[in-house]
Order: sequence, then structure tokens, then C-alpha cells
Amino acid sequence: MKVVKTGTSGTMESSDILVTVEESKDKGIHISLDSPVKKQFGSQIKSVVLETAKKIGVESANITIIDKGALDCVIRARTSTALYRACDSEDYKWEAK
Amino acid sequence: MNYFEITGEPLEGTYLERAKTLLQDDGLTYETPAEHTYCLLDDSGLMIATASLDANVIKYVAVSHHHRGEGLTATLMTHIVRYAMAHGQKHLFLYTKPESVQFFKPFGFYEVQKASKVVLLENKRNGLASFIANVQKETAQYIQEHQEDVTKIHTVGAIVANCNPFTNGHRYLIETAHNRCDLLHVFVVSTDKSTFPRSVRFDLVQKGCADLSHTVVHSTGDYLVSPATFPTYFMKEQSAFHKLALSHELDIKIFVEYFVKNLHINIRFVGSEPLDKTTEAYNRSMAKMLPLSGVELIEIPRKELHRSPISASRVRKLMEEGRVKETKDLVPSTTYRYLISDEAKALFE
Amino acid sequence: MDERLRRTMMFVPGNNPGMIKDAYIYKCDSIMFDLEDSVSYAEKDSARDLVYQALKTINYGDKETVVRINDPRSQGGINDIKAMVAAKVDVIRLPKTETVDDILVCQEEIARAEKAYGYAEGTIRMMAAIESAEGVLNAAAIAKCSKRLIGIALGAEDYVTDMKTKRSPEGTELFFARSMIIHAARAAKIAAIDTVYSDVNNEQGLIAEVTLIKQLGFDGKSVINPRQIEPIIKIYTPTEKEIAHAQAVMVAIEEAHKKGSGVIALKGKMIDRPIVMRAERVLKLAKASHVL
Repeated sequence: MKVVKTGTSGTMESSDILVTVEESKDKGIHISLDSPVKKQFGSQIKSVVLETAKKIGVESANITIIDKGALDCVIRARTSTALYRACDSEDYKWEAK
Repeated sequence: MNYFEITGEPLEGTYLERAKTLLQDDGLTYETPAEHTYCLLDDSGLMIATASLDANVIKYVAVSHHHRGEGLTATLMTHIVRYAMAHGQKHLFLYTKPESVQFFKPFGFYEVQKASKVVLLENKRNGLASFIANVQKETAQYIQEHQEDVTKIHTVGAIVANCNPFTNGHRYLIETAHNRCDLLHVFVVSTDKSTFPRSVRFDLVQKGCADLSHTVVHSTGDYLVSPATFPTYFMKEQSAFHKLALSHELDIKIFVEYFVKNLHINIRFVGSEPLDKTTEAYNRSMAKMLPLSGVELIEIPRKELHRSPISASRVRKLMEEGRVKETKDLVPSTTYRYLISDEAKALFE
Repeated sequence: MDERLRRTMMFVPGNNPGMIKDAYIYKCDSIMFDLEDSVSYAEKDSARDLVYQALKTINYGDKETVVRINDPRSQGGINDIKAMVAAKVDVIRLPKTETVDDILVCQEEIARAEKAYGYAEGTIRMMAAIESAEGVLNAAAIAKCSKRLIGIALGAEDYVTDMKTKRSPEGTELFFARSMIIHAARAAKIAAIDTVYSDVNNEQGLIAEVTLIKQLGFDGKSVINPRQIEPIIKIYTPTEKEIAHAQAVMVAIEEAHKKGSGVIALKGKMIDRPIVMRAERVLKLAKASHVL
């Protein structure tokens, strides 16, 4: 899927995360992260985001994240929504439990 | 908690009055209309929080004293930031009182500059520092490419200009300045609110100065003569003088503490401003503030053609009237080549 | 009828990560994640993704998970069903149920999704929510129209608007609706859930309302604040006297079994099947409230 516009999801309330996805001229996912636990969990947060993008099939994007203490499942959800919004797509792929 | 949300582009009527009251309770003044305002009202319709966005600047943020500690700032900031991003504004600035800075840091905002009663924040860590580092890099590159002798650089000058478009007047200013220093930085205003788009303006300046030695052209980024640092520059109405003074302070302070300090600038060159009150007031403020930091302000009289100062507005007026051929005497050949193009014609249709 | 207790159903707005992640802590019997009225139109996709991820990741223990979806005749509602079936939510709650057809349309989408994800048909259960005059009048038929239904609930806010009245502490305006719903539930042998009590600071008001609906026969109530859970569980907790009586009934049955006697009596009264069932239910509630 290709990023065609800016897509955002989430809020800056406690336990949430604000994810903004934008078009990137280069290949690859570039992440810029702001988090109160950046030192301890920064790489973990980034890897969840990368994993989500990979699963959805987005190969190139600039992703900005403001984290307010979100769990992995929240990061996955917000990243997924922002990516679909940025790609202007409703080709959702739900997976069975 | 339940609340109603209302927005205004700009906010008007009774909602605006209530927002102004809320801001006043916090010692803030709603000076000029903001492009977008977001307000929260409680169940009974009472306004309990407000925040505004103007271009890429967040301001007029207040939460009612009765609703502190409820996380409403997060709600305000989320809306404003998302709105800004949806409208292509990614690099955001925020004005607030020094006492309130702590409330905005959790949202990814970092201090840029403090003025007497206001602090400017941006949503990039070390944004300004990296910008300056980049300017230094551009300069080093220029010096290397043009084989300038670094040891012979003692006097460094700077000019900040919009160049909308680049005229003989600008050329004259730059040439005069260039003769008076060993290295001249020309900063072209980045903010894209002028008739000629940023990329065109920058290109014409570069072409128009290509033959000059020790003259390097940069853009100002969001840090000089931008809605964040110099809001009134872009306003159509003429504001009262005292308001202008405050809005210069940040711009000039940033210039001094970041540009002057890191680029070792000794002189700021400006063209005299017979026509524009806003820019004239800006020059006056600089004349007062720059010497305090060891920087000389040199005002160069405008170049005239037929007893009238050559100004970019004259060129634009002629373009509007379809009299492009008459601009030939006002601009260098590099600019004229652009003005007669179809692309330039399209800008004035 | 399934054996689950549904004394409290905690309402959690679907686009609120803070509440979603904390929901497992609360001592409610069911959690209802809302994708409908508490989520703005612009954020429906966000809420769907969030609840989907939460259901797949967070362990809600013994609690029954319920999701209130959007209208299944809309693309949003269809997407809700696909996502929630994939996440294997226990129950899908259909808002504003008015006719049998509403249930059947929803059911069809659920069945389609179950097939796509390889789940046995009927895995995902349903709940009807009656929120209008039409719905109340059709409650009996609605409650019986699908094997998936585990319960039928009342949504008073929309209902009183439809009825052109407003809520009162006495609940006079809800009497007919509550009566119809409890009858429909009992005839169909499914659960009956009462509407939310919005004034979270008024515990006395809540207690009065729960006492009333328990007497009417309702199995439980929707809850919008964790503070409301404890008072409701208390009311549904059998008294010592009730527990003692129930235990006595069970002992009498035991003894009669041993003696092989056909007719059983306790303190001179005949114990027939309804009495036994009531005793069993009391003991079940007592155990769930940890007083036994």
C-alpha cells in the first residue's frame, strides 16, 4: 500500500499515543519518537510500529509518534489506523484469534 | 467527562467573547484573530477550555480554573496538533507564559527562546540548533567550493530579505553589503505567504548573486521573519506600534542568540524602509537591540530609479497590471527572464 | 439458557485506551466495548482497531466480552462485525434493535465472518438492545428469533426520546418497556439487562433502581462507572436467610434421594421443581458474590 496523504490517529491523553504518517521520498519507514519512557522502551515501541507497517504492507513512510504510556496493543491499533488513513484505504485485514 | 466541542475559522460572536474572557482570566489577550480556534463547553454550555492555531503557531491556550487537572490540555493539544497536521503544518510552534511552559512539554514541545513575558516552544527537539548546524554546513561547503580563505574572514555580514521577487534594489543592497564584509550571509524568508513561491524567490536570489564572491545564500527556515517569530509581518492590517515591539523581540533574540553567535556575524544590513511601517518598526527595534550584542546595524538607502525607490511591490504591481516589460529596468536579467515566463504570468492571473 | 451471571455489564467507550486497558481490573461480569454512540463518526475506524487489538491481546479473565457495533446495514457496521468476529468477542450487541429482520441481517454478517475465519457457525453470540417503541412492541418476537441471542437489553436514553418523555427517579415512563423486555427474555429463556443509571454520584438512586429491576426479574444492569459495580453486586447477593433456606432445600432433596422418596417436603411445604431452581440460583449468586 502507498501513503498518499497525511494520516493521524490517537490522542495525547494518558495511556494513548498520537501517530502521524506522512509520505516519504525514500524507501523504508522512518520513525521519530517522543516518549516519557524513550530510554527504556524506545526501541520496543519502534519495533511494534515497524512490525505493524510491515504487516499492512507499507514500505515507505515518515512516522511521527508522541507516546503517553501506551501498551503495545494500543500502539498497533493507532499505527494501523493512521496507516490506513494515510493510504486512503479500507482494505482491512483482520486476523482470526 | 462530557463536553461539547466547537470550532471557529476564525471564532466569532458570543463564543469569541467567552473565549476572550477565559483567556483574560489567565492573563492572556486574544490580540489578532487566529485562523482556527477550538473550544470545549461543559454540559450547561459554559466554556471551559480553548486553544487556537494560526498558520503553524499554537496560541491563546487556556483551561478554566475549575477544570484544572482533568486532562483538558491533552484534549486541546490533540485537536490542534491533529488539525495542524491535517493542514500540512508539521513543524509547530507554541507561545505561552513562562509559568505555563511545563504544561506543554509533555506534548513534545521544546523551548526555543524566551522573551520578556512570553516563551516560544517548537515540536522538534533541538530544531533550531540543527537548523543552525545546517547553515554552518552550507557555509563551510560554499567556502570550500569557492576556495575562500577562512583566515581572511574577519567581518561577517547578514541580510534577511523576502525578495518577492529579487530586484535591482535587493541586488544593490547585497552588493553594497558584500563590499563591506569578508563573508556575507543572505537569508531568504522561507515562509510561503508571498505572491512568488519560496522556491522561486530562493532561486532568483541565488541566480542574482551567483557572480558575487563570498556571498552565500540560505533560507530562514521557520526561525526568522516567520509566523512564529514575527507574526505581524504577515498581517494585512497595520497593528499598533507597541504590539509590534513585542513581536520583534523574539525574532531579534533568536537572530542574536543563534545566528549571530554561531555564525560570528558582526553586521546586519537592512535597506531603508520608506514605505512599509511594519518593516520600518522592525529596523528601529534592531537598531536598539543589536548593538547590545555587539552587532552593528547598517541601514543602506534604497536604490532609486527615476527618483523612486526600487521596491518589489512596484514590480508586483506592474505584473498585476500586465505591464511585465516595464519591469525590465527594475530587476536583473536573471529575474526578468523569469518574469516574462508563462509560469510567472500564471501567478498573477 | 446459558448459566452465566450478568449482574453488571460495564460500558467502555471504544476509543479510550486508558479505560480499555484498565477494564480487566473491575469486578464486573461483562465488559461492553462501544463502537457506536460514544465514538464520533470520524473516529469509528480508530475505535474498531483499538478494540480489535485489545480483545486479541488483553486477558479479560472470566468476564464476558461484548461489543456494541454500528448498524450492520452500513459499511462501518459490517467492518465492525468482521473485526470483532476475527477477534473472537463473546457477544455482539446490536443497538436500536427494532425488528426480527434487524437481528437476521446482523446474524447473516456474523455467519459470513465466522466462515471466513474458520470458526464454527454460532460461535459468536448476540444481544439485542431495545431503544424505541417499535422495539419494545416487537421484543417478544425478537428475543425468540435467533439461537445466538443470550440476552435482551433496554437502552432508556433513546427510548424515552422516542417516547417523547424523559427519565424520572421513579421510572414510571419505563415500566411498560421493562415489563415487555423481562417477559420477552423469560419466554425466550435469555437474560434481561436493564439500562444505565447515569447519575454516577447518586448511589441511593442507583440502589433504588436496581432494587426495583431485580424485583421485576432482571438479571442485571449496564454500568458506566466502576463505582456502580459494588452496590449492584450487593443487591444481587442473597441474604444469609435466603442462603440458609436454599441450603436447607438442597439438603432436603439430597435426603429424599437417599431415601428414594418421591414427594419431598421441607418444614411442611412441598418442594417442587420451581423451588429447587430458585434455590440453585440463590446458591449460584451467593458463590459469585463470594459469600459462600
